[in-house]
Amino acid sequence: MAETDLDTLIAARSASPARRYGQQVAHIVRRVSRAVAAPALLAMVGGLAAYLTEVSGWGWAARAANPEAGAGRVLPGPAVASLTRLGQSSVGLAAMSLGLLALAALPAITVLLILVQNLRNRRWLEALIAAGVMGILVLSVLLD
Amino acid sequence: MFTWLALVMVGFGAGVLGALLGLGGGIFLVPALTLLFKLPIRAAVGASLISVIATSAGVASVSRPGRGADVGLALRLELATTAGALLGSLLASRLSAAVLAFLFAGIALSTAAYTYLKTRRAVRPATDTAVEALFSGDYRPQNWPAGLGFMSLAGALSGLTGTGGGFIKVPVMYSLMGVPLGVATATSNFMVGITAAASALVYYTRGDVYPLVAVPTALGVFAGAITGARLAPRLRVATLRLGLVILLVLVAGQMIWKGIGG
Repeated sequence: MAETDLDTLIAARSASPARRYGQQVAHIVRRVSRAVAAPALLAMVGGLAAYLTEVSGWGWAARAANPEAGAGRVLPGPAVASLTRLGQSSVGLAAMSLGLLALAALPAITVLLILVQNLRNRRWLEALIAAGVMGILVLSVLLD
Repeated sequence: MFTWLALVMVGFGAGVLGALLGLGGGIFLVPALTLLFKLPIRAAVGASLISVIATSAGVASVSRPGRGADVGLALRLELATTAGALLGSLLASRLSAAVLAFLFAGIALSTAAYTYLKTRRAVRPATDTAVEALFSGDYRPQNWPAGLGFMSLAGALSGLTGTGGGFIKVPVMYSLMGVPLGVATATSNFMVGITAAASALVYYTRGDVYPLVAVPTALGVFAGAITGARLAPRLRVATLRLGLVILLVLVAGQMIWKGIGG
């Protein structure tokens, strides 16, 4: 375990309840950020490499794969593949899309874990607030 | 090949500057992507929102105990901010690219003004005790109605322009709500990720996120944010801020010109 995480846990056990709660939450934020961001970034890197390999080149073929591009343009390329269309996409594009989705969902995952921590600590008001933020994030996916 | 490297480097620079100056990377990324790479502004905003989340995650992953965000305060304010962000991102599809460009120019000028004022008032902590003072002290956030109102505005602007809104959140928390500066900055860094997520999910489901743009920039921003967070205690940020003010004014001018149709 990293020294800072161990220091956090030791300090948390000897602190007042409010301070201990704050440190628990900070610990969650730090661990979730590392745990989700790393595989998301790996998926994006791998997906980008796979996509560029799939289009068989780093220039002419990439442009040919993007019918919206003008002569000599590679960007912006294909749009992100939604969850329902992942199966119809290339492996590279699907991996990049999943990585981007994981990164976009990271804050929601963090808020969800904070909600769970609040419920475990019987901090009902804090849990209600976290649930409210979660609700808005869920709504953002459903509305358009 | 050079396109992807250029995107990574632009993202890295935005991440470093964002982490050093507490502004988030969006204020640099959107004009860079639209002006240098000639991308449609909605594609730039979509990539920027993903990168703002990457910035927030990068800073959070290396935050030091005792120097972190006030998560309770952040979630209370996020009720208003995410609602504003949701509305802003839904509105963005109904506005023309020119309007978005003008709006972004306004944001850049406001950020320049905020950064300039921050430079004029900046006091560099000389000791660890002074640094600790930025984070310590019993405080009770005040002026909640005004604070929540400004947070809604920050969220709406985030959804429209792809910025994190830190240039509103930090001064509102510090000057209006009485939160210590270090706590306000750390809390803002935490908040911008959640704010951007509310908008990013809308852009994602709408198909306005382009992986070939978002992936290299997000990778660069993540690395830059971690680097910037580690460099911050060692640099004279005041000097950097002056250069940033000039850059932001130039960027605002470019975006206005782009909006006019130049």
